[in-house]
Order: sequence, then C-alpha cells, then structure tokens
Amino acid sequence: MKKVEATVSPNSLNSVLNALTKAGFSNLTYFEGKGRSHQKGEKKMWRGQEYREIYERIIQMKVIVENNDISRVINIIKNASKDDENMIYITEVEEITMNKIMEERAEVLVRRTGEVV
Amino acid sequence: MVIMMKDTYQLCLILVLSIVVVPSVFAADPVGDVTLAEDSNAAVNFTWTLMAAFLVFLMQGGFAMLEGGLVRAKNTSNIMMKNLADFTIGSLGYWAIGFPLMFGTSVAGLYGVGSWFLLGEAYDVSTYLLWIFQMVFAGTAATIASGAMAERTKFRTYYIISFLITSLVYPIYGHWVWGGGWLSMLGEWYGLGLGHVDFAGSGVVHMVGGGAGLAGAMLLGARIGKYDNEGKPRAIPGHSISMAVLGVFILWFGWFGFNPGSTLAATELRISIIAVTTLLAGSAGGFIATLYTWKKFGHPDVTMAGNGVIAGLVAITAPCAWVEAWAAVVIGLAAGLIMVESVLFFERKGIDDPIGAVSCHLIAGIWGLISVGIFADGTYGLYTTEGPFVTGLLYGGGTGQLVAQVIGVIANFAWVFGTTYVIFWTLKKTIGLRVSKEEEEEGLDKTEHGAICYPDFTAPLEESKKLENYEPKKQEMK
Repeated sequence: MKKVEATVSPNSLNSVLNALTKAGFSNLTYFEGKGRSHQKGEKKMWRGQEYREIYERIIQMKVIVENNDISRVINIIKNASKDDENMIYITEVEEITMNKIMEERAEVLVRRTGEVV
Repeated sequence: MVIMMKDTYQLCLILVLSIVVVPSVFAADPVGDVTLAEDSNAAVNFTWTLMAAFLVFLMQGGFAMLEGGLVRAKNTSNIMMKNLADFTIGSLGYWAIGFPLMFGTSVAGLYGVGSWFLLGEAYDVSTYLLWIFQMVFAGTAATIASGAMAERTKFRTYYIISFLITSLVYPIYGHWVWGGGWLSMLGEWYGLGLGHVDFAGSGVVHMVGGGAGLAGAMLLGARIGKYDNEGKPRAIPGHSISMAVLGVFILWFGWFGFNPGSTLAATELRISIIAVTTLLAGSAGGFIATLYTWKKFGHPDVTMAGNGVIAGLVAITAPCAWVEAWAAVVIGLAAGLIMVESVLFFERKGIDDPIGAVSCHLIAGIWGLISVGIFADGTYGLYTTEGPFVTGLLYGGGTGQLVAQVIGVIANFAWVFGTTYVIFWTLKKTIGLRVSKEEEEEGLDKTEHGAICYPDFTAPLEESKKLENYEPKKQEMK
C-alpha cells in the first residue's frame, strides 16, 4: 500500500478527478491550500499597484493505492494536469485501521486493491 | 420657518421652500392643514422631497458597502460601525445644533442662530421637511471622511470627529452657501454672477467630506505596509469587489434623490433634466475611468471604474440643474480622468486614502463647482424657473459666475481643511488619533469592537516581505 500525495493547480482539479474516477481510483481526499516552489508568484493588480501573491492557491490530494497501481495513478495525474508545475510524493502506508461502519463498507477498497485490510 | 424668516435672500434654499409654503413663514404649522390650505401644491412637493430624502438616506448603505468592500476583511466591522456612527450621532448633532447653525437667522453671513433641538417655532411641517432633507445630506458628508481614514483610526476619536463634522464644520459652511451666508451674497454684494452657487452640494457635501478626509489621512499617516522601505506605494487589496460595486450602484440610485430632490418641489419640472444629467455624468465618469485604467495599467480596473462613477456624480452635483446633457457628459469625463490621476498622485505623496475618498469627493467636487461657471447655460434660475438665470462662461455669462465659484472653492477648502486639521491635531495630541501597531496588525474588528466580521475566514497572508520591515511613512508636513 502506498500513499500518493499530488499537488495540482485548482484549474486542473476537475480533469484530474475525472481521470482518476474513470480509472477506478475514486476514493481520495483533497485539500485546498497555499504553497509555492520556485515560482515568483501570481502577478495581480490593485488600483494601479502591481503586487505578487507568492503563495498561490493549490490543491493537494491523497490517494491510497496498491503497490502495482502506483505508476498508473502517477501517469493519470500527470497527464490530467499537464500545464501545472506539480510535485508528487509517494510514501509507504504501514497500516490502515477502520471503525465498524467503515469496515462494513470497505468492500470497495478490498475489490480495488485485491487484498483484505 | 420663523427661525429663518429674517433672511429672505433670494439666493437660498429656504426661500424656495417658503415660496412653496408661504403661510408657514408667519406661523408655525405643526399640523399641516394651514400649509395645505394655502398651497395646493404642498402635497406633491412634500411627497417629492420626502421620497428624495429617503433615497439619500439609502446612500448611507451605499457608502458602507463601498468602503467595506475596499478595506481588508479584518477591518470590516470597524468600517460598518463608523458608517452607523456617522448617521446615528450625526443626526442627533444636526438636530441639536447643526440645523439652526445652517439655516437660522444669519449673523453677518457667517453662521445662523435659531431654534435649537427643533423646538418652538421650528415645530412646523415645512421646517421638519427641510430638516430631514438636510439631515441626510449632513450624514453623507460625515461618512465620506470615514473612508479616507479607514483601517487605522481609533474609534473613540472618530466618534468625536463624526459629531463635530455634522454639527459644526458642515452646517457653518452650508450656511455660507444655502443658508443665506456670505458666499451666496457674492452676486448681490460684488456683482459676481448670482453669487457662489452649488445646486445639490458638490462643495457643501462632498468637498466638506473630502477635505475632512484629507486632513485626517495626513495626520494619521499611512497604514502599516502601504509603503516599502524606499517609500514606494504597495497594494493593499480590499476584500470584496462585489460589495464595493453594489455600494456604487446603491449610491448612484440614491443620487437620484440627492440631485433632483434638491429642487424641494415636484412642481419644478426641471427635475427630469437633473435626473438625466446626473445619470450621464456618472456613466461618463465610469466609462473614462475604465478606458484610462485599461490603457495605463493594462487591465480595466474594477474599483477605479466604480470610483469613476462616483467622481462623475460628485462633479455633476453642483451643476446638475444648470447644464445640458452634452455638458454633463463632458463634466463626467473630466471628473473620471482627474480622479484616477488624483488617486495616483496622493498615493505618490504618501497620503494613504484606502478608498479614494479624497480624490472622488474633494477633487471631483472642486471640478464640479468650477464647471458651473463654465457650462451653466442660462436656462434655469436658483431653484426656480424665474430669472435671474445661472449663466457660465461658454454661454455669455462672463467670468463673474466663474470667479464666484472659485472663491467658493477656496473658502470651502480653507474652512474645512483648516478647522478639521485643528480638531484632528488637538485630538491627536490628547486622546490619540491612531491605534497601536499591534492593534492595526490584529485588525480593528477584534481590537476596537470585539466583533469579527467574518469569524470563519482565515486572514489572507500579508505577502512578499515581513511586516516588521515597514514603518508608516513619515509625513513631510510644512
């Protein structure tokens, strides 16, 4: 099990979500936030004065996937957000625990990953 | 009406009203039956004036939205409170001493003396009618100053300032122009046109508010972070452009009470001309501000376009009844251009006016007053269809009217800027004008009112450099 954390721009959120859902990776969480890498920031204008918003609005999403799905998921995200400067981290998920309700509904996850968690 | 009966000058608003309701000059008529019996037009004229007053009242809401939208989220409760304060304490001040100072019996043409607190002879339907119409104007003047002083003024101090503007500064200048004071007598005494004229208050209302705002902004100094270390202005974006634009439209709507209502009589059919000139000047101001900022900044600037509308409306307020449609467009265009340049000028000079109140009201107001002396076409008199008519330079009126207008501008600025500067300076040295650095950074919503306008919002980051690097820019005062 791996956790894929991808940073995409708000503009490409829709296409990334659509592409992931079509491929069966619809279980995910995303966060709206602010961040920067090496960009200079967005140029904006207020009453004739130019200014930069250095920390731009970003979306960070977390998808938990089976080890052999990793490259597929990464490709889907990259293709669906071609114009972004995005960064994707992959980390090992050691363990997943669920409460009772979640366990009963975990079938979806089991079906996708092919293993009982 | 008795409080003002000794000043039966042909040149003041009062006389217009007393022509409409002549009997009330001789005896107070609190019931209204005498007034109505003597003048069958009283009903329509009362309705007209009251409706106009209610429209002008709505402008308070417009100012609240415009100013609120152009300040940061953390100071929104504060600016709302200031707008509330302007009207609440302002109307009480105007009731107590402002109104008689403005419309009472003139003392040497400088100020009026009459029934304080609307007592005695003032208990009269016609006087009360004039009071409510003039009161909403006074409230407007005070509100303008709050915009220029936004985001850094101590509320306690502002409360006192607001009271003094509506009960002293505004009424005394108003007396000079509308109460039979010396400016309105320039024509009679020195043959300068019909004396200084200002139909609905480019000078009396807007220049007063703008002048007080300028004095306040100069004494307060710039907001923290407005200037970088080299003294170059930086952007401090407001938090809601939609609120600001709604404010512009509410103000524009209210202006149809402000200008046409100033006839105080629906029987003056000139009101349709005034409504059209008002609309056109606002549109022309907004239009030129859009184009000019588009060319200059690369984008059509939304808030500047809104300010352009306001500038056009402020400029047409004085000449609205005396000019043709084409002149209204020219006046509006010029006002829009002057306003944009003026906003940038004050910013360069280190005078931080977050919403452009000084440029929109003081500078456009000056242009409005002067434009009467140029474009007045000699078809309408002083709030009456009968002569003498107001005639400007372009229509063969000579320079007399123009000179009277310029004298009015100088007198206005000297009086308003002078008195408010002294008042603000005194307050600064005693109870303090400006909040502390910590309070300013925290936001006035929390520190002044304990009520945060948007409790669920995360404050946007103050970008690019650390705030500690910025000191309020030092004012270079002469």
